[in-house]
Amino acid sequence: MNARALGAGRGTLSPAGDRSDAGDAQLAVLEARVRALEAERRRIFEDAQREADAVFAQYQMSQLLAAGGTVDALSAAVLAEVARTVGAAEAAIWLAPTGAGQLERVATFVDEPRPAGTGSSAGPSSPASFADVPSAITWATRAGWSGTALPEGRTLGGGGAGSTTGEIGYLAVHAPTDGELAADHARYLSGLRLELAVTLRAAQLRAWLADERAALAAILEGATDAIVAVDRDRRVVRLNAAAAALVGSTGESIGAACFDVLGCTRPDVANRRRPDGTTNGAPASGSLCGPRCPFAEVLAAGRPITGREIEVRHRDGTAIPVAASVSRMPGADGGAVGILRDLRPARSLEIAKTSFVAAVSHELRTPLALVDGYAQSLLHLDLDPATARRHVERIADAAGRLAVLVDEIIDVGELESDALVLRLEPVALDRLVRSHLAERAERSGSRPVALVGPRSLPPVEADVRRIRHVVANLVENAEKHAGPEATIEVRLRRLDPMTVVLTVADSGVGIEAEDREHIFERFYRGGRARTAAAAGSGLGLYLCRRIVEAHRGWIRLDPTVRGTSISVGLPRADLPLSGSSPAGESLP
Amino acid sequence: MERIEPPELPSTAAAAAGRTARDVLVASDVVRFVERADRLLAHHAALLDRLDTALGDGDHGTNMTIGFGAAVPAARAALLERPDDVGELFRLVGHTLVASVGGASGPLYGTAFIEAGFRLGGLPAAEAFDLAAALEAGLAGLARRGRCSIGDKTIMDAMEPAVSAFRRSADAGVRLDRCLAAAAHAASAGMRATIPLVARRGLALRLGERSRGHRDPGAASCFLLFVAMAAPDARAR
Repeated sequence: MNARALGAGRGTLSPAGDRSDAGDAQLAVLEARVRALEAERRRIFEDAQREADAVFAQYQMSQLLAAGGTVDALSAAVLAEVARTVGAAEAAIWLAPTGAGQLERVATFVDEPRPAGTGSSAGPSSPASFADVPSAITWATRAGWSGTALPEGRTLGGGGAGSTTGEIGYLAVHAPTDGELAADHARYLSGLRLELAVTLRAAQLRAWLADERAALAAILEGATDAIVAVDRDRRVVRLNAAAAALVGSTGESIGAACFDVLGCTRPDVANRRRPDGTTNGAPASGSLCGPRCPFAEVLAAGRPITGREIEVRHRDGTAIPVAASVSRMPGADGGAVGILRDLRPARSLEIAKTSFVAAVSHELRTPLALVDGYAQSLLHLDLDPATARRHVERIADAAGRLAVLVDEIIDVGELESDALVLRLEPVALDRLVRSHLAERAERSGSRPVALVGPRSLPPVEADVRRIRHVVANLVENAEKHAGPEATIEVRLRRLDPMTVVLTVADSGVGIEAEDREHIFERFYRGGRARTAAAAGSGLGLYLCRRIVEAHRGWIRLDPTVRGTSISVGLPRADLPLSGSSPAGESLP
Repeated sequence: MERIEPPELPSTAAAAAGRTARDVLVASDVVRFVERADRLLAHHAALLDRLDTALGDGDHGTNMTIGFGAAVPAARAALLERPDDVGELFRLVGHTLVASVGGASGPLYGTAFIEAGFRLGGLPAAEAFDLAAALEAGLAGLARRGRCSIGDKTIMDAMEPAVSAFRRSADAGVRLDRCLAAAAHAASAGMRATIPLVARRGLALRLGERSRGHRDPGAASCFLLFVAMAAPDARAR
């Protein structure tokens, strides 16, 4: 064993030599005093340590609260800390989601069953919500829990008058024994309530802010109008996807000057504004970075500008007319935010409308002139009955064309107000096409049209009258535009188990490349149609598209074939209404 | 994963080489222990900071280095004043740690040293048996102050097995240096065992399940302290 034996313990004095009785007594007194002093020292030490423990517990809680986090993470961590400190088997925090009213439980703590096996906890035993703080207190009292209400921080109080003294939540713990907390534990709980309330409220506010920001960002990004925010020096601080697309920005725009981003000072643009203020021939409104720049004006004057027509430029140099609405952003060093609406679609619609009016006038005038002419001759000439009858027939024909034209105009109006009502029923497309072609064949002067397709096809879900209109329109278009030598063919086939496709193809001149993507637009008439003798309102294919889309089908031009080939996909009737196959996809 | 390489432990290489081992701990040993701990912690400060970044606020290594940097001169000064009181040295080191180590680890390690020192109070030299009781008192103080238990992913997960191993060795009559070596080995295993644990104390509470898969930085520094206590003193050789 150890060579050096030292004093075995403290609080004893080693005997020292011979002792007298008096010496013994004195020694005993001294020993007692030393023992008392030792005990006193021990007590003071333990008191100090206990106080230090309490301070340290508070410190650890403060650290946890200062570290922040989400309401959920923070609450869970705080509960674990509180439960450990007060020795609770279970604990929970309820918070009012909006800072007032109904309390929702945001976190629970259930002590894991220890090997000793005190609890068989299968989950929290506390209610998930309370109507308010008083009912939480009532429940806690009855259930043998101890708790503390979380006061609303005065500086953080939102809402109206009188709300600053409210309570935003409740924290309760359940001691494993009889629910009564030791005095120092109760003090601990009550001591942390204000800091905890302020921290949780801040976490709530942070979460709301984040949600709000996300929602606003979604709105911003989802907007179809271009939105550009600039700071006071007109540096772009934000631009949405529509703005990036409008000017062809590739992501390096943030922090760049707005006139660079919006293309007002691009060196490759011919009518760039010179330092002396002149431009090389372009109109003054062509430059954003001039006296008409709405951003500069709003930043200088502060008054919002609504719908000012200016021009921005895509990276590729294309000038884009936009209506700019710009206003000041709130805040001391707020910049300005502008909403730029691309005017091109509206402009092209305007142009289309104008040409439609011209076309329609022409279309109406031609049959009207015929009606007038034949009516005049009937009135004033003495015609033989056969000629008179021919004239009346011409008048009837012309009236029929007028009626069709007027119908189309009415249909377009109906579609624009989304009032296209379909009477859907199972329709055998082959029978419908055959009947239409037979009817055509009876008319004089019509060209033969071939029908190609399998012997049997599943029925489609369709409105017979509307689909017949589509077929008629497509065939008539082919006849009108394909040229006299072209052959016309209607093909039917099953694209996939869900879709039947009808194709009207001709071997004619086809549609010019620049027109292809527009042919289904309202009032659009292709370059050839505009100059050709053929009549038309520019509504036919637009109507077809709207009718087919109302059937949950699709219509498209096959750009790869010679001539013109337009296909219509319609959903099968005997399948659940799950929509037709998307264009361009087919099942094997 | 980065490894903390333990220096040679007397139970292995040093003992095999037949170096002299000591049976008691005196005040100057405590000073040398603090000096070794200071060097070891400074050497591994970056690693401890990185471990703490995963679970806490990333400053454990820095804090411990600052604390033991302050403890070294304090211990040297105390040695001049009280060369015959091991407990007093431990206590003084403990108070220095409380006052100078940032974060929770200062009060926790400080408490362990203070409680251990209180137990050793008045002793000019501590045998293995005395040190076992002192370590147990230190462990109990740390557990009380931190309100932590085994498996919470704390300092305690390294310290408790180390103290138990020390106690078992002391009770078996093993020499002090071998007791300390056994403690250091146990602390190493305890530190590694914190990796799969979910933290139930401290800032890592916020992480919940995400605290799995990381060594607890407190357990790591605790292991380093036991290594410092067990390692043979270079200057003594």
